[in-house]
Amino acid sequence: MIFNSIHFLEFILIFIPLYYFFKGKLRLWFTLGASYFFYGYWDYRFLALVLASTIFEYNLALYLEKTEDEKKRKRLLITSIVFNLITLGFFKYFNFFIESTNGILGLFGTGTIHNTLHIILPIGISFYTFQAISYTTDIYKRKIKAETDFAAFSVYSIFFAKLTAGPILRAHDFLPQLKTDQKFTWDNFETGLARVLLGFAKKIIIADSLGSFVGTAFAFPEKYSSLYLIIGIIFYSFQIYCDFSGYSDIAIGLARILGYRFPQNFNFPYLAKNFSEFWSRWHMSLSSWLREYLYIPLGGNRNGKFNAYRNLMITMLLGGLWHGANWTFVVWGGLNGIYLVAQRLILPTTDRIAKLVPKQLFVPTAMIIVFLLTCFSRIFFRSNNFEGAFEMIKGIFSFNDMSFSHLPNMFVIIKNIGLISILMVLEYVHQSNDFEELVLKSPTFKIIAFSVILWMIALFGTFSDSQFIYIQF
Amino acid sequence: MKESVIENTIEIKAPSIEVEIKSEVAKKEKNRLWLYLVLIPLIFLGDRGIGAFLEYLTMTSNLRYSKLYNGKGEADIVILGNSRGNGYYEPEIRKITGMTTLNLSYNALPGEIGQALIEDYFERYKAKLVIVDVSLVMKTEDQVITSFRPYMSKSEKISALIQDVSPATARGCKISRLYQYNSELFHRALYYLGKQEGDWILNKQIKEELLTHDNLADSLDVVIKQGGLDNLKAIAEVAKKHNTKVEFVIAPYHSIWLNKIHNIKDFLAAIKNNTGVEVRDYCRFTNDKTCYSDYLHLNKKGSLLYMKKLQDDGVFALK
Repeated sequence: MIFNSIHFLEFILIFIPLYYFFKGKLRLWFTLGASYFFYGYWDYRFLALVLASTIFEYNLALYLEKTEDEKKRKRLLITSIVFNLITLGFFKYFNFFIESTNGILGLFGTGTIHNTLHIILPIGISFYTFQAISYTTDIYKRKIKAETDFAAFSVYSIFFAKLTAGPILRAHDFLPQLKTDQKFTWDNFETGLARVLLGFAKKIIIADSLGSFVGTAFAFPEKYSSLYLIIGIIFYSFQIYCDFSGYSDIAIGLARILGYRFPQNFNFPYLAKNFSEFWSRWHMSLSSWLREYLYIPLGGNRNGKFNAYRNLMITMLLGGLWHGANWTFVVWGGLNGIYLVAQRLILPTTDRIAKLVPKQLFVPTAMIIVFLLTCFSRIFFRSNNFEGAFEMIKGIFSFNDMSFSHLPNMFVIIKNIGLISILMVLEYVHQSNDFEELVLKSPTFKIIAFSVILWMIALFGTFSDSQFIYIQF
Repeated sequence: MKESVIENTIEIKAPSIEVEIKSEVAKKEKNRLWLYLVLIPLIFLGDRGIGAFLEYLTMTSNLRYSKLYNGKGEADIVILGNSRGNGYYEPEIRKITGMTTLNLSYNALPGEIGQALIEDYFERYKAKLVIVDVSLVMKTEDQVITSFRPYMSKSEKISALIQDVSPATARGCKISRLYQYNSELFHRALYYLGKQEGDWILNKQIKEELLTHDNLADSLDVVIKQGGLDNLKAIAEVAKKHNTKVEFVIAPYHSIWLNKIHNIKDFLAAIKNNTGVEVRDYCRFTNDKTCYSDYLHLNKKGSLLYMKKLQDDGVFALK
């Protein structure tokens, strides 16, 4: 079941009143049942896996908390991490491992491994396992107490609003909220609904409209001019932003309707002036997870510059691999690692330039450079293989036919540029005026916002039931 | 003594704060009720109001379909085709024949819509000649049929076709008037507000890489469908009924594409058998790469040569 489907609309319209009808434990069990239904609707065969994993993590965490012996505690933590990584590795990376091994064996002219297992990727597994790892790690570090209420722990693990594509929740943020009976308030309902509508608008109006253009550019780069391909990769950056931040908005909004507060996942990333800032604004729940549970344990900025750069590269390469079982994702992560390292290396120079050049010139230039380099790295993120990615790069850098008048699908391009411009203006305004605050404070704004979003969806929406991009990760 | 005074004060004040909070909550709820009483009709009325304005814009546009339905579409020659039909270059036809032209071609235009457009044309106007590029019946895309929804309220035939291929779209248009204008055709109509159209031809030349190696499938054979043949037959019949000459033609393909359509002759023969109209075959008219923008479409240079050929062969002649 995906958010932008009629089935989900039916599901949520039944769920919300019943959720508020039940109280206390009963509400938790009801939410858990609904979350299992939501997951099982996609593929019921994985429900057993989710249940087994939840039971295992729940008991291991309780045992970990009781144990005083540090060595034993460490062993328990490692067991949890290994269990989660094996689960993730098997379902997400098994086919990739076999294909990569066959590629290496092929180089030596030896036989290949025959893959008889056709493994399906359980939806949301990457988000689920990262959340589980952070939970046991926090208990190991005695930052939080192990949850004793099985229903609360299970809802924390598999709550449908964030199950398929995050945000990755931290136990200390979400579990206390589950332990209090959230009361229905109109303020929560309205701000939540406004956020949900905003998310749908981003997805249906912009992301899906850009998607069909991007799809043709990446499918047949040899057919199109360099200018068309450049527009294609820029559009892709906006497509993925609107798709994923739209999903996050819907998840955050749904949680708010139910009385919960989810953390923000995006903070206007394309207004970032450097790559560190970009990563603190893009997919924030993953970035902070990687920093806290990978980069810092690797040594972080400690132990000298070289080690810091190495740690950055490892974090970004693994972050890339987390997205998908394909070497193209690793290259994407690697490129972003290089950007971060290069930024640190040239920091004294950029600081000097910033002092010499007026701020009004330096800031937009920096934003554009960060944006364009991000677009370039995404060629590897979007392409199915290296052949396609290099075909795209070759097409762009041949600078063949840069004439606007020769562009096909001109109407689609103009429409999408118009929609992106509206988005950017709204993002800019939104930076200084919180959308939810405005919805709460000003009835006029509320009326205008609800009406305009609904009209825009009717006039510009693409109603194709297309999947959210991050669901595949 | 002091303590009891304080206690008394608290006792007196507490209920009044509670009452104040309660009345504030009640006021807020009342305001909220008013808000929804305003919001729901506003959304509905706004949809209708803005929709009416968009209809006005659509119908005042110079886009070919707006002209067809706003009373300004009458022409001597009516042309129909898919994107290849845009190669029948209107300014050149006007120049060599001295006759006015209305080109109703559109990207991936399906035969069903083509038939509806021609029937709607003859319900409103007269013409001397109808030229149909028969490649329009090679492919049908439901999505293209639904993209004609800005003209639903002007054509019962288009409305029925949309209802037939996508009841959800038809329902959506009833619920929201704005959704009716959620179509590329509406964007084109906006573009041609106060601007003349008729020049939808590409100026570029086919990419060299496409000529040296193609990624095409081995076979691009036409799936000959009875529905498409019926559409052509209906078009020929309605034109003849209005004493209008009908020419069925097929525009040039680059040989790389054409060589993969193994049944093109069967396709043209099937049209002749079903409609009684011979198709003038220009598939192999030229293979000069400077005449093509891709395998399927002539560029401006190719189109000018092709129009001259049609003139020389008497396609534009009225007798």
